[in-house]
Amino acid sequence: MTRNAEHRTPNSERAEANKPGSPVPALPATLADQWRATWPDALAAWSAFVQLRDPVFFDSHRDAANYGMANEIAAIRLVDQMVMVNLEEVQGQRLDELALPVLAHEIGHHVFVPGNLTDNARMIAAIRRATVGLKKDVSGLVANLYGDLHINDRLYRRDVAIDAVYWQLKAHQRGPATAVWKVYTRAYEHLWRLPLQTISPKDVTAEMNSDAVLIAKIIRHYGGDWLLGVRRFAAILYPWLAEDEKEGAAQTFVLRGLSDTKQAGAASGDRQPIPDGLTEMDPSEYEDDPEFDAELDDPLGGVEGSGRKRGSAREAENTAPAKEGKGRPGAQYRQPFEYGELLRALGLNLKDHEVTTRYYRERALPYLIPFPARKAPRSTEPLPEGYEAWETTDPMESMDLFGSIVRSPRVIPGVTTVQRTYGESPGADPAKRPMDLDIYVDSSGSMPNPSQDVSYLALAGAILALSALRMGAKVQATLWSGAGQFTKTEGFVRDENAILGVMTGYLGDGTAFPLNVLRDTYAERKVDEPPVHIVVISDDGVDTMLQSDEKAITGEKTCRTALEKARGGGTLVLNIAANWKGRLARLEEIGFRIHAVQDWEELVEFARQFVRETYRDE
Amino acid sequence: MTLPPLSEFLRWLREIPAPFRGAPAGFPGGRTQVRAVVADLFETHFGAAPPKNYLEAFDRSDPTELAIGGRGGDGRVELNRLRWVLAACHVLWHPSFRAMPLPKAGVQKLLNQGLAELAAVVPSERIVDSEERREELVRRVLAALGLRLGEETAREAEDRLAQVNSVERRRIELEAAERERRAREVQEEIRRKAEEEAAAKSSRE
Repeated sequence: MTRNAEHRTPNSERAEANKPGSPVPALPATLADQWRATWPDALAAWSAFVQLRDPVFFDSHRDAANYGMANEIAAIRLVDQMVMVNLEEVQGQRLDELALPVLAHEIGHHVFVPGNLTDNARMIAAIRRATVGLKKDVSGLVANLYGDLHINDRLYRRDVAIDAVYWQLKAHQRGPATAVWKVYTRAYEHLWRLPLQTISPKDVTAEMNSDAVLIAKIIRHYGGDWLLGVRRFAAILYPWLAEDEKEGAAQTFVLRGLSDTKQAGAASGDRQPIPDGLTEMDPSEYEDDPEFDAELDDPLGGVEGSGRKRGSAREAENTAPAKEGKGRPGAQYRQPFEYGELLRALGLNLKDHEVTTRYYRERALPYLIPFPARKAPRSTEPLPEGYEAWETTDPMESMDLFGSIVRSPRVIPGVTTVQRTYGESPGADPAKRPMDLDIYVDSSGSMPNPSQDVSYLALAGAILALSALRMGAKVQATLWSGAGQFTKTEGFVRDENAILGVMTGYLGDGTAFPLNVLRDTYAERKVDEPPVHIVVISDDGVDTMLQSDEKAITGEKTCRTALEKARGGGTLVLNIAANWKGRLARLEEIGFRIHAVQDWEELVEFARQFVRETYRDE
Repeated sequence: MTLPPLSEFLRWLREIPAPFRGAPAGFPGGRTQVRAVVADLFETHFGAAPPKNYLEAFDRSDPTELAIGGRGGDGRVELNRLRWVLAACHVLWHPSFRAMPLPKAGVQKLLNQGLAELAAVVPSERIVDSEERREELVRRVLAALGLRLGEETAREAEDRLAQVNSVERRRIELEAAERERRAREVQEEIRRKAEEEAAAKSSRE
């Protein structure tokens, strides 16, 4: 960063705004320059090693509105770590001289609380559980308040004049303060040992004061592990949030333009990264350190002579990856709809199917297993054949630098660069040939909607499909319900999104297996194509496989032909009663292996065991 | 003299000798004479053992006679307190402390009073299995002696002690538990009102 850098705005319309007659006159460049010059000091307030790109300054609310920053003072986006400052609001609230505390505060959201989108999500999730009954958007407000308290206290302890910001806010008060604002500002007075009413309004009640004292203690005590204190913080604020909601009062914090993590999940362009690990609930969301909670009633429960024997040294958690995925026993997971709500609370603008697809992909990952591979007669070995042009979009490692220099001593990427091409020569070792997967997932009315509740059909399908893709196989996914009601991928594909998109959809109507899809899939299947394993996940509605299709071809004939041409076998995974033998014996005779489960959750275990049981010796 | 980093004190405490971890004399299987350990510590640091009446606080006797902040009467608390005293003595035996003059009053107060409230809420076994508890003890000792680690500022030291302070945490937990009960009551009231309004609306329709 250079202190004399040209005054930039992110908005290309700035030049337009400077024209005579423009509705919003541009502010003097000096304010932005002054604030930009403070940026290194703001970074240094946290550490000499913190590096962030220069902040973006908006001259007007109009410019800022494009970034969701109208009427906000400053904010940070955690996706690209971009700090944004609305200079018109800064001037309006007389904060011109407080560049250091304002900028350092925004940096604090990057380096301290929440630090990243995942922890922000965990914080919001914990708050959502503690604020049931209130408006849903209250979780973002509480998270912002909690984070700000931690950051501001840390800055104050480092002699950054963050308190001056609140003096200014009080000096230029706008309308009556909400109950939450009273408790919040009083907490600062206790944290910083300021005279009462220095920054808090005058009508703080004794009960509010008592809560503010406790909040101050929480902030100071949980400064090293802030996520543990968030649920308590939300519980303390709950009655005040409820009171403000009952009064219909807009939150002072919001009105004063302090919602600086509202845009935390926003991103430029189409890039909308979703943080990993959010399908699983963090223990901090629903419980505290269990040992410490046990100590509330009997703090010395572990001392010899007491009735309760506490364990000795706590077993270290084994974080080594398992040889084969087994998920995490005991882990608690969100429902898909909760997962979607959480992502939206983060400010992520996602379509429903993106959320659902992401959910099942993430749930499936811990269970992924190597997909079976059949041995082909011989493998091939690469045989160098010559050169072809290396484009800038090709992998860097494939560029042949020596060959490029031979072609032209002056190397111009994408112009003079080349890469080797290889042919194949027969090798000595047997090659493994991954078996394709043709999966049919029942989505009739008796099945759960994967976007609302956990669908173990979709999850098992995702585990199988992702395992297959991992081994280089192709997958055809078909979601089916009543006659003619199905969606499918465009044949056997390797497009993960397309496959999961199909399997996590919902039709929710009648039950009629899509025999036409099965028939057409194998009608043209060539013998030199890889073998296919056919998997059908359904319940007793699977007997519709034995009906005739629209061309009056019997289901039995279609199934026999499909299995014959697939050459990889077929499995029916069915949620059926234990006495299924009689009704489905015909399908078993045709050649399908039937795997009965009495609980959909067993499907996950089936998916994990499926490959090993069937192909171990092949 | 500059103190070693925190990690050195944590290592020192992690390797606490068995006699300092065992039961003090007067308790089943106990052999370690805490008063002897304290007397030895004072002789090492200050050239003379403390007065007899001071040392009596480190014998197991009628708990009500002990200066443990009115928490007497519970054998577990007394056992735990004496173990914390032994651990604190071990910290004070660190070579860096032996190489510098220590404030006698600070040491006296720490051993006699400063550990009682901690011993009332945290089992001394946590010294073995919790690094945070080891840090808490080290920081309590440093605070009692008016010393700070390496490059830490007074505020940083104060903040970190606040973060690992078990006694403070217990107070917060108890107060927060009360607030959580209050929040649940308000939540229940909101739910009840919503149900009443929904019922009234459906009866109107």
